Amino acid sequence: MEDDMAVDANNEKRVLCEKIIRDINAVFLKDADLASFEIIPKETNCNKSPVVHVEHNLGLESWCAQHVYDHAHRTLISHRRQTSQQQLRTLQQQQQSDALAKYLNVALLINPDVTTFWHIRRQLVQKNRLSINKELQFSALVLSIKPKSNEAFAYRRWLYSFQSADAIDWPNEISICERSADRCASNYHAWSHRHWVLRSGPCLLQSELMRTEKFLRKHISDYSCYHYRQVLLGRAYELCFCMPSGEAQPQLGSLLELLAEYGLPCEPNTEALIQLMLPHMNRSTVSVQRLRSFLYCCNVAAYDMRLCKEQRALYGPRDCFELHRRAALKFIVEQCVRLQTELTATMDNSLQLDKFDYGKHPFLEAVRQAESALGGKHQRWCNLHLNFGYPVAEATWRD
Amino acid sequence: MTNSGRNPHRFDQTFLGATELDDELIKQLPKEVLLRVFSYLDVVSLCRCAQVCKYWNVLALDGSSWQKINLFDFQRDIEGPVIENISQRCRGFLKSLSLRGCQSLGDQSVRTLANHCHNIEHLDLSECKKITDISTQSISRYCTKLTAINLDSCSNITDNSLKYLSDGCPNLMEINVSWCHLISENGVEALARGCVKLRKFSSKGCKQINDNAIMCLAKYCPDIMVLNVHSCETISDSSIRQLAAKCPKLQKLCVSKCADLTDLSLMALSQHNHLLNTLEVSGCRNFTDIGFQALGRNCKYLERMDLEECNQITDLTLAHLATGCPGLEKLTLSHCELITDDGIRHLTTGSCAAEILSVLELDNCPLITDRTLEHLVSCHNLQRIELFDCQLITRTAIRKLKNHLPNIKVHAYFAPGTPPAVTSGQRPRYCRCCEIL
Repeated sequence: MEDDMAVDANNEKRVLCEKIIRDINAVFLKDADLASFEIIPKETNCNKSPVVHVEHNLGLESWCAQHVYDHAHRTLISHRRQTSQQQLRTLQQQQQSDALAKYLNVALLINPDVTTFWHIRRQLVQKNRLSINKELQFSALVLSIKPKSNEAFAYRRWLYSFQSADAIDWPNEISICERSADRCASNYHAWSHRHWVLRSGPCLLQSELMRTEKFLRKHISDYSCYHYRQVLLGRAYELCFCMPSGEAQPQLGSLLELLAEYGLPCEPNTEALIQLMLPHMNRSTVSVQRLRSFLYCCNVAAYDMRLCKEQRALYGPRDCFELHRRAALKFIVEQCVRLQTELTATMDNSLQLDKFDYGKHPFLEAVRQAESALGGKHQRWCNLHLNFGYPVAEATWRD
Repeated sequence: MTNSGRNPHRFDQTFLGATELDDELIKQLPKEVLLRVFSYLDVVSLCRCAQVCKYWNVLALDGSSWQKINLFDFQRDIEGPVIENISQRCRGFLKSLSLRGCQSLGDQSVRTLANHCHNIEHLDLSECKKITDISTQSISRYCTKLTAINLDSCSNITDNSLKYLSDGCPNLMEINVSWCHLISENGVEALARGCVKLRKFSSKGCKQINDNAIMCLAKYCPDIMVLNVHSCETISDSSIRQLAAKCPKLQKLCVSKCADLTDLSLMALSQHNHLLNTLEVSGCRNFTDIGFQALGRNCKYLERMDLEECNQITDLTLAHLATGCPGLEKLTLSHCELITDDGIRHLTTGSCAAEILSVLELDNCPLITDRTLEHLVSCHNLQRIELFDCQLITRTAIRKLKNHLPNIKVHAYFAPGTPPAVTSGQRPRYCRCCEIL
């Protein structure tokens, strides 16, 4: 008798889960622009469907989430086990794999971390049972509930391998990364995806520089963003990027300010700047474009250094301000050295800074002098990374 | 096969010494007995038996064991040569063959089959998507004894197939052409003229089937018992009324999603078709209490009714059905928004309720409350009840019902098991969507 009751209870549970999964599927079919998914905390319930659909937002009440997930999980795993043992021969199994999509949707929305389910989705895409656009939309939906989901980002990258680069909506990718990073601090996966977009997509450097600055001002302590900005800068220089100069003299205000701070006032024209910063450079080996890019990037780096100083003044000393300022400084120093030691202008890791004599270069010497005033910890860093050669005492705990 | 009457002491022999004697034992049994034994086996077992020894090979592959073959489990593996082998083996013995889902099957194989097996009576070719009119042409030429054919989802079939069948298979009683979207009234007319013994006709999903087709069926095939025209949206009262008048033996009728039908059809059915036991009219929104009143008065043998989305019907319909249909087993009233507890009360006091009613679907009937569940306590045979989205139902009422009817399955949106106890002092929880709700 008790067994019967247990069986009955299981049957009822199964029917209930199936109905809820069908309800969710109905929402997917009805609304092509679903934007977000949430689990609504609700312990008790009345006899009403737990699926809530308001404008383009989908909600599932929490009382059923566990049961529905269990059911979907069980179905998917048993299907996986069945089909790994034999080829998909029969009609029934084929129809099952078409029906799988609705279980996958539910299971992944409730628990986005299960790699096996993402793989089943990949298999279905390969068999052309799921459309790529809908899949991109689905992964965006998963990101709305879990912005830090590496599976969802990795899935997007995998899907894009089937499309040509110009068919992809890159600004949309960037905005997805930005939204995810906005919601979750230090969202490594979102920023990694943004790095991928930077590498694979067209040149979005200008807008990216603007956006990251806005982001920095809002999320002052999110080092992932600072790091991304450093990478941006590096990439800009690598690509010889600079502002298209309609006027003869580009805007290099920040750089000039920085030079003034270091006690080296300079005429606001390109020639004077180059004379000041790169006196020993062999002009014939370096293209005009590279020089313009150099100035532009140094300007950005100088701007960043000032930004860090302002942030520190507003919010007090924080590691990220320090670190970013140092990175910007390192950029300027390294590129100056590189251009003047006649190495190729690629990012050569084996730059031999220890062979470089700062004394011969007025700008770099001025930098060296100025930076020594910023404390022992900074001095040690400069010694290590820039080979400034300060005489430094042993570290005390206060530094 | 333990024929102990013959040699009882043989069963004391040790295993090793027994092989020769076993052979003789089997050879001593008359062939007919062995053939009879083999006739109970399925395809796989027969093939295995055929591999045992020469003698068994001959017996197992004898056509008489292969009268009824179901190849559904092999589906994709079935290709031309298999069918050709079977046809040649079984020849005149093959009577019933199911090739459902064998998607690689083509016209050539069916032609071979028809060529060799002239006595075939039941043929299931559903989901064999490559089949075309050429197959039916061969079948009609050679298989005059055909009584039942299933062409569900064979989307290449056209009216020509029906013409061939009407020419060549006059004994045809059952045909299923569901989802063969190319079928139209012309084919059906030809079929009806030629196959006057037709009893079951199913054309679910064939949008071109119209009133004319049904009227031809009614005119030429008075023995029709089962008609399924689910989703044939152009069907209207005129053809159903004719069908009702000319085919008094009608037992099962499905006109779901034929939204143009009105009470006139129901009244015609009630007037002429008293043997009606299954009526599926989901989606026929024009039906009202008047039509069902007529049905309830005359169709005493109704067992299953699907009235989903007939949203004009009220408790009166249930009252009429309660008094008029003592055999009602399965009743679907999903989305019938005007039904209230009173209607169910009428139903439960009717003659079908106590011992017969087994399935009741009331999902999306918003006026249903716990009182309904109280009334249902008296239905001892009730096995399943659907209550999704009946928001006035409570958990306690369901529990009470289950106490009275322990075997019942209640399907509703209640979480399985008891809800977790709410502990005091929980910190308030916030969610982003509280802005929406």
